[in-house]
Amino acid sequence: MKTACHPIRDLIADSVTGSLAAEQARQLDEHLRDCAACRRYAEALRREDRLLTQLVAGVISDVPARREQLLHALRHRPPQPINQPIRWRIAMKSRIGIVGAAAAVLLATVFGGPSLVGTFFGGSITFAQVIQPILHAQTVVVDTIVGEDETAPAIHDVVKGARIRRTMPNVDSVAIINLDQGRMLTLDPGQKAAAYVDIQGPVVEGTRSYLGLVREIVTRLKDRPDLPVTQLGRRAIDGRDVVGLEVREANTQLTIWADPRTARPLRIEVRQGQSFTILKNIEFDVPVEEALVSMDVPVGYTLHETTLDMREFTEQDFVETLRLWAQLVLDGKFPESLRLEDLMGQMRGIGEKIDHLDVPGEEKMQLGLKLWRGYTFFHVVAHGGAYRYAGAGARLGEAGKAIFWYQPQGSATWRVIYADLSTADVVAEDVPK
Amino acid sequence: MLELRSSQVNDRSTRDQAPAPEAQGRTTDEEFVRQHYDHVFAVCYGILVNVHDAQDAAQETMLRGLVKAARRMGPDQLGPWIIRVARNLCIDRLRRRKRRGPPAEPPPTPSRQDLNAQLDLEQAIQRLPAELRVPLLMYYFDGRSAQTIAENLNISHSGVCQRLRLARRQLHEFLTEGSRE
Repeated sequence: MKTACHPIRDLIADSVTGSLAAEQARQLDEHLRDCAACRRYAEALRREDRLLTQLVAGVISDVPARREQLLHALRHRPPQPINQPIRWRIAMKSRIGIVGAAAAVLLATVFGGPSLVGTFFGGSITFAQVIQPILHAQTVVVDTIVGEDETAPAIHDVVKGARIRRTMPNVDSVAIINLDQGRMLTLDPGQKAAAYVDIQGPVVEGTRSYLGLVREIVTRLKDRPDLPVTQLGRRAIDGRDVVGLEVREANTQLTIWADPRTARPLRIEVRQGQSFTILKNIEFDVPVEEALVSMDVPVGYTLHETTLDMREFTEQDFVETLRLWAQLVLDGKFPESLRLEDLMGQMRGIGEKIDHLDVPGEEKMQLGLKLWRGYTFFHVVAHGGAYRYAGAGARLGEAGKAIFWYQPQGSATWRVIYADLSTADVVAEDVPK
Repeated sequence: MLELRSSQVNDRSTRDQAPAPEAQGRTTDEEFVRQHYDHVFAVCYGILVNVHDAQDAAQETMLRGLVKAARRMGPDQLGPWIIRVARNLCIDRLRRRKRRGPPAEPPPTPSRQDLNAQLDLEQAIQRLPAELRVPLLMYYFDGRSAQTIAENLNISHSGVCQRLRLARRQLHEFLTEGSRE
């Protein structure tokens, strides 16, 4: 092949695709007139094009049938709910089940909402440096605070590859999560109890360390050097000198505070919709002992097992959550707020209330999970659109008192939940003030 | 044949007798499947280059989509998201497949006969890197529209054209290896 043929071969490939401009087409024709080798090349690519067409046509001809098979199977599934249940294998008693696992579910869903679409990030050198450890660290130790209250108890994560050792605030339990296996080991050091939780399915898909979320955002943004990063300048945070970078997008804001000398992030703040999360005291690539993230039951612990079902999060689950919350935890009153950070603060109390109920252990666990399942529905709504909670001060059973209303996505009307837990569809004009 | 694994089939009949608006919900599910299945299948096939694996992966992707998507996202987000789910899922399967060693199914018949052209072609396609293979196969799936691929894979139109160009040139090299140009 002559050197002059090199660029022509690209044109040939483009002409087969059909993406050639008129001027290039003319140039190609001219060349082909005089070059037998390129004519053969063009012929070969066209033949391959025909073969590809045939191959894919064969595959395509079956696709509608495959689609119909799936539809048929879906139609013959029992109605409601539409997803697969998640099988929970978990301890029969104690707060491991009620609080520990439920907390993991909740955490998994905090960031499970729609990810950033069409966002941006600038191409400053500092940013490029700052994201290196975020993208490439093998181990990370990080404290996470849900909400804006700096003094709130932090979730402590030790991340090694796909494994996370997570210590919850207010709860004497530890969760070791293996994202590759879709499995979690929960430990209650007080009772020396251990349990495995299967988190296959939607939950594991949404589960990641908080750092995983940041990684995902950064990965997407680094290919978009067209839009700016705001430099926030220097500041002292937690007694350390840091520099800040910030990016905003419709309902998301990411702020990274890094050491000005090493460009290592020390603190990251993420705002998504109405939720705010702080990752602080971040350390990258520190040695992490294997035993800390081991999925084996530690010596001296007893393994407990049973199976729980975790299914779709529906409005009905949420209504049930409000009922349980008012009835079991707050003596008939609805909570002051539905904010995650407030709920986190009450977690121990909720666990104890449930523990003291005169019902079998299995039922206690189901109660705990119900509480969280419904709450997850609220999270989805809160991420997805307009809603209002007005339950503060309301008592369970009050008729005509609206405590929560929201507009489901794509719906023209609103759903309203009343203090007597009845529900209604309401047009926009009639939504409570 | 398609079968939903038993763990995926809900057995709530004894628990939930509420007259849920399933008819309505089901329509939405159907719409969702009708709208996205073909693209998802194309992506799965593009990565796995095997119709059975692709069907399996497409089904799993759809089930995941039914779980979360409908009530969370607007239509603009849903499309790219479900494609992303499909891609991650398939890449995951590829990785597992690699760990287990190469698949036993396709008997390598290294013939240059015309009848074997399709087989050679499939083998050559499998050797393409995924970032070239997926757009190339989607091009044929999507009625030869680079624009549709760009939208589905969330890359620029020129990016798609460039990948198609590289894919064609690379593929031709694989197909003519050993013979002289």
